[in-house]
Amino acid sequence: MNGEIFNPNPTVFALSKRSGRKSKFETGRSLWIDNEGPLEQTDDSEVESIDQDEIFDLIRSIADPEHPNSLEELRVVSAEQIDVGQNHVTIEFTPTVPHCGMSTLIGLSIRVRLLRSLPQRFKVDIKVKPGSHQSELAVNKQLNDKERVAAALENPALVETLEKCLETAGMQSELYD
Amino acid sequence: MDVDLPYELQLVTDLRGHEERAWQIAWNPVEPLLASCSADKSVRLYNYQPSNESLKFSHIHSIPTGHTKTVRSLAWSPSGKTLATGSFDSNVGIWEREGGHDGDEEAADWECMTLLEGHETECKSVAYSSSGTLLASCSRDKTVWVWEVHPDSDFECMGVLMEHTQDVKCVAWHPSEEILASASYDDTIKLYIDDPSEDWFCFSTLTGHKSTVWALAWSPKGSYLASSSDDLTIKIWKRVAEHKWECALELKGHERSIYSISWGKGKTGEESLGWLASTGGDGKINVWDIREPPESSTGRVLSHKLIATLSSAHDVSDVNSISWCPREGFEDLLATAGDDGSVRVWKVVPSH
Amino acid sequence: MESVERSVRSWLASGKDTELDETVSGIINGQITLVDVVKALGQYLTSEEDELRSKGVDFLSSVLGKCPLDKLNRQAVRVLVAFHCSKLEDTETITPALKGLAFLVKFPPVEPSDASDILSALFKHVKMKALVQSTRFFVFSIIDTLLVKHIKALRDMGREFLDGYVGLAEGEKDPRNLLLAFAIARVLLTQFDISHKTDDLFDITFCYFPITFRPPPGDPYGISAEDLKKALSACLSATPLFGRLGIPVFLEKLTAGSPTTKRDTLQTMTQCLPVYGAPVARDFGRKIWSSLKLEILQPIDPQTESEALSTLQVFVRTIQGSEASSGEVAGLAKDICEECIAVLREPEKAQAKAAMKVLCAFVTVSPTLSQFAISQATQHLVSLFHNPDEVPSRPAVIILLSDLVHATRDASSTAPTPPSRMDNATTDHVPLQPSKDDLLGVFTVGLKTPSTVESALRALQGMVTTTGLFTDEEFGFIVHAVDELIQGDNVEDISDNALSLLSAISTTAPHHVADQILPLFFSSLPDRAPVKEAQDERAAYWRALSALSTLCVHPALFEIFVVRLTTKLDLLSGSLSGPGQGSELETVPAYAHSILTAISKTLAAKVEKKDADVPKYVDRLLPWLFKLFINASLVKAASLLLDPRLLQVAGRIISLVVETLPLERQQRFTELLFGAYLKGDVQAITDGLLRIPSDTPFHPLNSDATTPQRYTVVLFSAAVVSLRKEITLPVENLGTFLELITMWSDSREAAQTQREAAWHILASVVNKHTEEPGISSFLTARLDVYWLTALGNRDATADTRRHSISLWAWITKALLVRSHPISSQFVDRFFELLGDDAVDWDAARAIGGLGSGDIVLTKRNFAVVKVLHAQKFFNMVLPRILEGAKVCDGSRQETAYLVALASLIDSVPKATYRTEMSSLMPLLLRALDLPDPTIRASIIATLTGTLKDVTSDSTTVSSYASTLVLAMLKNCMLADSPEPRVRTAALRYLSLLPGTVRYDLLHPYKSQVLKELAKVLDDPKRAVRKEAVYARTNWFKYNG
Repeated sequence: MNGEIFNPNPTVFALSKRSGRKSKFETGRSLWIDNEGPLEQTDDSEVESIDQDEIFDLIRSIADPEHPNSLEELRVVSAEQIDVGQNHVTIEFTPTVPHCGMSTLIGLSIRVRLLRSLPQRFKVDIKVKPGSHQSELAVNKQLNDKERVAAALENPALVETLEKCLETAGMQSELYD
Repeated sequence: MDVDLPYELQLVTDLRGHEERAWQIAWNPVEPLLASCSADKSVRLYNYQPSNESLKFSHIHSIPTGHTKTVRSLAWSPSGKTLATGSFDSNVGIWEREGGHDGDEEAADWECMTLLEGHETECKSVAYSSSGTLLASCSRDKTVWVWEVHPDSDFECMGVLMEHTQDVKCVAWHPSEEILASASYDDTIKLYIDDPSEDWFCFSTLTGHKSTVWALAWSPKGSYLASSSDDLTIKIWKRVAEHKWECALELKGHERSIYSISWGKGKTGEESLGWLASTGGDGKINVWDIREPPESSTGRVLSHKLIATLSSAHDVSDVNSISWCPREGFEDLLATAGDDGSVRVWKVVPSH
Repeated sequence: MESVERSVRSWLASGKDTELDETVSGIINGQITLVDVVKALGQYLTSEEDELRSKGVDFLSSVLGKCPLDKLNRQAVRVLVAFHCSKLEDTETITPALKGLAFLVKFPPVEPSDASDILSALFKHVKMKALVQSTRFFVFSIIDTLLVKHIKALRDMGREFLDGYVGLAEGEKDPRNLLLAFAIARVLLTQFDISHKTDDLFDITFCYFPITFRPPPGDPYGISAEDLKKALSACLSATPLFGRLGIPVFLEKLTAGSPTTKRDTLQTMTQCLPVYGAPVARDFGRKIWSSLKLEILQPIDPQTESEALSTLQVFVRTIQGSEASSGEVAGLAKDICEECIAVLREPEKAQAKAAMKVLCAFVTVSPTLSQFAISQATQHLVSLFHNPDEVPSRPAVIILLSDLVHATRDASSTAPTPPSRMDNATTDHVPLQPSKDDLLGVFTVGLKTPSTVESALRALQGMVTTTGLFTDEEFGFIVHAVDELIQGDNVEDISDNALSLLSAISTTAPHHVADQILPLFFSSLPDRAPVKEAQDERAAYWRALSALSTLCVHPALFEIFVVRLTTKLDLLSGSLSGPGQGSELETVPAYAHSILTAISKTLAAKVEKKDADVPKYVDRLLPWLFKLFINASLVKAASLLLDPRLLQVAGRIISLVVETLPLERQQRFTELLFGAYLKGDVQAITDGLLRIPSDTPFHPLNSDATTPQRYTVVLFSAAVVSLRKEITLPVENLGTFLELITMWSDSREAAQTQREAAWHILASVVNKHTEEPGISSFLTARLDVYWLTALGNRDATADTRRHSISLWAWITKALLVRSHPISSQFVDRFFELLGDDAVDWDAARAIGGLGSGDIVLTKRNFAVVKVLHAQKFFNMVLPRILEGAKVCDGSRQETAYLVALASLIDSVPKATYRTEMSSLMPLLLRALDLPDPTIRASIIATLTGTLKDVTSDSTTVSSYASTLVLAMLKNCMLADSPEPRVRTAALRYLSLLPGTVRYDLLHPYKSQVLKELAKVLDDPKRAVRKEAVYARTNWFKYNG
């Protein structure tokens, strides 16, 4: 981050309403109003599997390395660009400019966030949106080479930068409760 | 999923102890020793002894190594006396046993004889030549280094090969000749020999893989070279002339990057080229029996048969390394290392 | 005299303060004079031995330090001053001499001449570099004191003083001395003629900017960076003369500095610019603006950005200065505006947002500027909006305009009405007035497209909440626009923004909402309950209802709301009063329940904001309610209406209305209420709506009352609970009344809801009427008869006993909250039960529960609540519990005590046990192994509370850290705690540990915790996973 600014004036988008999970009553599923919050568990045995929204919540608030905005605000990530399978997740992200030198860093921050917050059973693939970056393949290849990711995470300077981006990652989740 | 294959993989032991991802295992070619290395910067040594029809593995020693970053790679010298470690801290460590001889391992202590510095970035793989006189290492700095091994662990750099345009992932020596192969992030494989007059040089580049080539394995007799890649294929290259290699076969059977392959003698007799084992990000182990086509048949293609397979070999984790035991009588013994930090040993047994 | 010499001698030997004190007291009672002391010291003061000399002077100084201020005459002072000054030349005596002077200057007889003598001596002999911090401190305090007492003398010294001082102050490093130096500098800068010294004074102040001082761990003076910052910026902002020199420094720091430096600089500028004044600010105007611009348009972080904005405000206010009133905007301010407008050309870009922030900041600067900024911005954006090529940027445009609108509204609401201008006769000052129509145009268009509708609504919200902006028919117009908007799709899908816009309007122009909006919603309420399968319809009616209850807070609207909803219910009641069949059994009461809930929600909101129209609903709503339920209770077969859930909402409505009634109105109501429930006169309470045939009397409190009738007591209870304590209950004897209620609640037929209703009555009455006849006999009867026959009666079934335990708990609590002495006897009985296997846990829980707050015994319900009653109670029972838990280890009884402890801790406020934590911790940890999830959850909650609470010392936690970690890891595993709430709680706790406990204590667990939490990331419950992620992140960040 040697002072070079790749996109001094990015487009900022309004935050989407966060994954609005409705209570059983609001959806009409239950007859009676439950006074509890929207997330209260009515049925303990019910399994709520990890879905698009949940993963989006994990990464939406990661800070852009270049601006005081979240990846969501810059539309770098969006729920639609997340694909969740049984044990497999594919995240697509969109750099704000095709020559963005931060793309690898952004991708890495997403990977680390998921590394820390998703069950190990999930295999994660991270790609830039096709056609959104001039060196798309290079970035993708690097982001999905576990050996290089591992090495990167042993580089203190880089990790420091990553932690800065990740500081904000938890925030929205906290606003939640 | 087990479609009835002739063999199956039987778990001999599950060796836990690494605090982080285990990257590679290496069987000592001479003694009953298995070594593993890990992101926790340590090397663990296990000894194994027959105990009623099975084998008993016991952890006998841990080397803290002192590498400042992940220990990525391991290699035993043919003599089995020396162990080389390649680390993300860009150095190669040379280890030998001090005191406590073959008899009592526990007494043994492993000391760093020398530290080979030269690579600019992470060292990703190390390998000893069949004669044990040469050591090769490779790194993200795109270079392959060839070292000559002198007495009293003195090493001399014979050449720095800057052929690859990217990160070099793996180096492997021919089982008998002094031919070195390297595989890279640039999707190619390169073959090198020592020109007596000149220096080490690349005499051939094998292209065809569509993504990073992760691993290499020579056939036991050396007439074939197998390579595994992020493109989810394994290619087998046939030596068609002294210095000419051609792709003779492509194997598919993994859903994610194939991080490691190993080619052992196997136990299916002389007419077989041996058993090729592969594993990777899908956590699956495949074992193929590879055979030359009968002279009669017109097809020059190698015949191959998947003889055993196992999914989730390390539960949900990636498997990073697979290796056949090179010792006489243990041809059916296979070891793997996984992201779960565990090392597992498998026996290939006829299925019933 | 000899005495002096003696003490001098022995002091020189021993250095004991007693010797000093002796001398001092001698001086005080006039036996000796300071001059004597000097004489006595004579030989030492001139001694050849360095140490003796300095000690000698030190003795004198120390005596001065202890000597009362009135004990020195002019003569003595003159001598002492001369003496001390002379000692400044001697490097051995300079320190004690300065010390002496520091005391001496405080004495009244010191005269201006002395002051200048002392200073001249200081300037001549003192070389600060050669002195240690503490000695330098004397120098500064001498000057400080003289400044206070002899400022004129110092002024008269002129150059000599200033030059001298600067010489001394230069290069000072020690924070304690600096605080003093800054204070002194401030005085010089403000009260001295420093014109010729500006540069030097600038050097000895600005060289410290920005303060980067970090207090050393064991700093004896506890000086914070903040103290220094404050003191320094007080200097920097002390004189306009600093302007030209200072601003370049600021700008340089601003561009070069770290975020902290930037913020510090901006704050200081904000403070300095007004002092430096318009001319300077103007001269540096462009430079200042361009560096501020950078911080605003390309902010490094939000705080710095907002600091920069406030600096900008001050800056512009400064350069505007006189212009402000002159009525037109010119120069830099104008240019800045235009620059920002230019940035707005790309409204969807980040910088556009920032530029708008600048313009919004201008709105508060001055009326003229505000007018200018607003008109420029709106003109530009509005035309952009209407430009057909710019359609894609419309969403952004609306958001920007919305920001402007809100900023303007807040500015005008906070700012005092602007200074009078010539035109203020014609238009009142609503800054948005001129652009109103344009804006309205844009926003109403915005309502028509999905991409802009929400922000348009928010913008309009900003406009309608701007006082004096809209006329009544304009409100009508907006409502109409919203009406069209929601006409489009399902009415009940109205967005929150639309709702809050409408309710904002409803406060000023309710009739528009009433005429155009409400009908839509009412019409979307079905007359019959949708069938069980019809999820969407059900969801729909609920959304309609909640929309209505948000909208109908205004009295006029609420009236309509009540009328419409009650009629709805009347329609329903047909199918309600009957037994119902099939799915109706559920759907119908559920629908009714939603309707009542809607009413109570709005009612609650109105009570919250103390609406005056609530009381009248005692006539408008309550009779109808009572009719509805009492009527239903008269039919033989159980009626659907008498569903506990329905009764509870109805009850809530009743309480809400009753609590707002004035005393005598409550009294009248009470008569009717008791008339109905005790005498069966339902006609009065239902306002004649209900006449009942004589063959089916209404006597719900009779022992043989039918179940339906019994249920209506819930309403009775709700009313009684919110009666003022001055109310006289219309019964012959309170004791017999309560006895009746007790028996009624204990009867076998009673359902849980009915019991609770009864208990509430008991608690409320006992608490409010304790001192009245009948009660005390009732209480004593509890303690002997009732105890023996119910709680203490081992022959009774566990169930019966449990009921009486709860009843007992309610009475006890009623007494506890008013700290009534007898309450302790009631509490004792609970402890007796802890040995009783049949009910020990219930008793234990009851004990804990006693400390907790509840819905009945509240100030709001006019209950008598003494302060600190919880504390008192806690102090009373805690020792007994700790004792009990200690003695019987491992036994079942110990468990009972742990249960008591757990629920107690859970129920009382943190403050009550904060200090006890160390003694509680071991027990709580043991209790964490109890199977009961409720207990574990509450314990974890407690522990979490103490973690969060900064005031509680973390030492207790630290000493148990490892045990806690393991316990929590256990509790957050699905296998060990099936209850999600327990897992969530445990995770919450783990997530807080890293913030509280020193790393070195917990780092051995880091990898284990991370491994274990990795498993929890796969928990079946989303809420649990969320906590797991949070906790795990914190542990990743947890480093030494």
